Amino acid sequence: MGHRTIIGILVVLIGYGAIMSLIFNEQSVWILLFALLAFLLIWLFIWLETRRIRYKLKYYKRKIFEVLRNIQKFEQPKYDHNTSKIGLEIEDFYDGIGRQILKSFNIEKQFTQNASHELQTPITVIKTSVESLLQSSNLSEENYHDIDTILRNTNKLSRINQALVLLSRIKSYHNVNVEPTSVNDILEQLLVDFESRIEFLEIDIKKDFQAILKLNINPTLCEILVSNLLNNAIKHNLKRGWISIKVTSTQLIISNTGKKLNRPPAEMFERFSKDESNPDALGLGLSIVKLICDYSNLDIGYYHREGVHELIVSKKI
Amino acid sequence: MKFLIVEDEPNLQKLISYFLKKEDHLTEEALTYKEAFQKLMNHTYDVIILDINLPDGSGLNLLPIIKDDHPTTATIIVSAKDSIEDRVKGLELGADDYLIKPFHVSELNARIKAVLRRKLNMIEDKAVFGEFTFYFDGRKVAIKGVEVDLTKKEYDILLYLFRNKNRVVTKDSLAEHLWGDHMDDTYSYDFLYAHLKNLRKKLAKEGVENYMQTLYGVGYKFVIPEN
Repeated sequence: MGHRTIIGILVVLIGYGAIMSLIFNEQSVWILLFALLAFLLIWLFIWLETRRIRYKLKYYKRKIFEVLRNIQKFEQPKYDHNTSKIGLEIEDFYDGIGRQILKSFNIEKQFTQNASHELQTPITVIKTSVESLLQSSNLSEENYHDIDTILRNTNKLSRINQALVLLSRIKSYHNVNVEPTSVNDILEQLLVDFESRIEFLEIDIKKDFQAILKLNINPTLCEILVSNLLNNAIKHNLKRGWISIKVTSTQLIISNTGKKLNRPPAEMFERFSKDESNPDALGLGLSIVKLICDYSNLDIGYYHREGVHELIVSKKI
Repeated sequence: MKFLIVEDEPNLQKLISYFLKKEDHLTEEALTYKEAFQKLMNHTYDVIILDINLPDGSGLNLLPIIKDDHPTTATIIVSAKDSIEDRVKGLELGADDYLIKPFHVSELNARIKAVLRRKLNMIEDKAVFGEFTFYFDGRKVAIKGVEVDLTKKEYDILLYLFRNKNRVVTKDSLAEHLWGDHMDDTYSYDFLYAHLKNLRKKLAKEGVENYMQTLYGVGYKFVIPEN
């Protein structure tokens, strides 16, 4: 039974009681009438209060969603602390959540910024000092080898830092500037960029663009994705090998000749998973690819048969 | 040449000024925005090396002042912020070049020389180094008066070594100078070695291969041989 029906019945009863008491002037009817009126007022009060709370709830729910949306876009959440205190427990609760989200967001943002900025400065200092040390005239062969080790590892440190910052940013940037992006255009551009390396290794490029593959994705992330795949196909290739690039309206298939894999294919996409034969590799390239796919509604699979490695990126249906 | 180094990290600032002093330049240092501002009000400089993230303000705000009051001063921004917007903003505000941390001193050196050449009307169209003559505008090199046929990359390598003459240039810095971000790991050193091998072959043909010294795989040095 709705509020309106109950209130309607009460009003009719009170009206009927009022007429009766006017006609008969009976005291008991008057008492009954007052009791009914009081009941009606209480009911009305409860009804209004419930409605107010329900609106408040909706309002805060909307606000929390707004804060969450801002966080996904990696923008500063606009959460203003509620000042009109009515003493509702639910308001305190929402306030608490809002403050907690804001705090976590700032901690993560701070960390990402610190990681990229505060670490790069000492790395530059190390690089610069070592390069300056290298200018001394009385270094032994052994000194040169040590300096080489320092430089190589500092360089690696710097690349690990950049890759980790990128990994943490993919989460925040994947739904910013999303637009239909042509994978074909990106491929053509990258093939020009990589041209001299491809020529140097005498790699044969087989292009099979059957259709234009358009993805709804942030273009920068798309470029990182394709460039990592192409880069892998070049560096894990054999001299005078080949790369085949096939594009359909739903799939990108890059396959290349290469050495046999000495680790399980399932580990391919894990962080810091890498070939033992190359200790300088970071093993982060494919985990970056995987993360971009996960956030962009794409499937990725790796297949290997008879010396040919194949990576397939496909739109999720 | 007089330099102003605006950098809040004292170690890095000392290293840059140490390097510049060794190249016979005068240097002054500012650790904060305020300090840099005061120095700019009272002195003039030939080159300013400017960090964007300063504890008390953004280095970008100094650029309009430099542009208005010191139009002949060359500015090179040095920053860890690798966002494209910052780079575009910096160059729009009148900076002459932009270098991202971590950088190699050799790269900074080459950039300073290139910027000076553009900015301060020090346009020498050629430079002589021993038996080498560099023609900058035509991007050509002559050895013993005869022009040598070099590929674009080979010319870039030689020019980078020349701009850092008598100093050791690491292979890492050379690779980064040539390929920038795409040079992401050691696989690509093979590629650098291939270019260097071809270049050395060409130099050997002219009998000048001993200008280019190799230092145990760490780096290279461009010098005039003693004998």
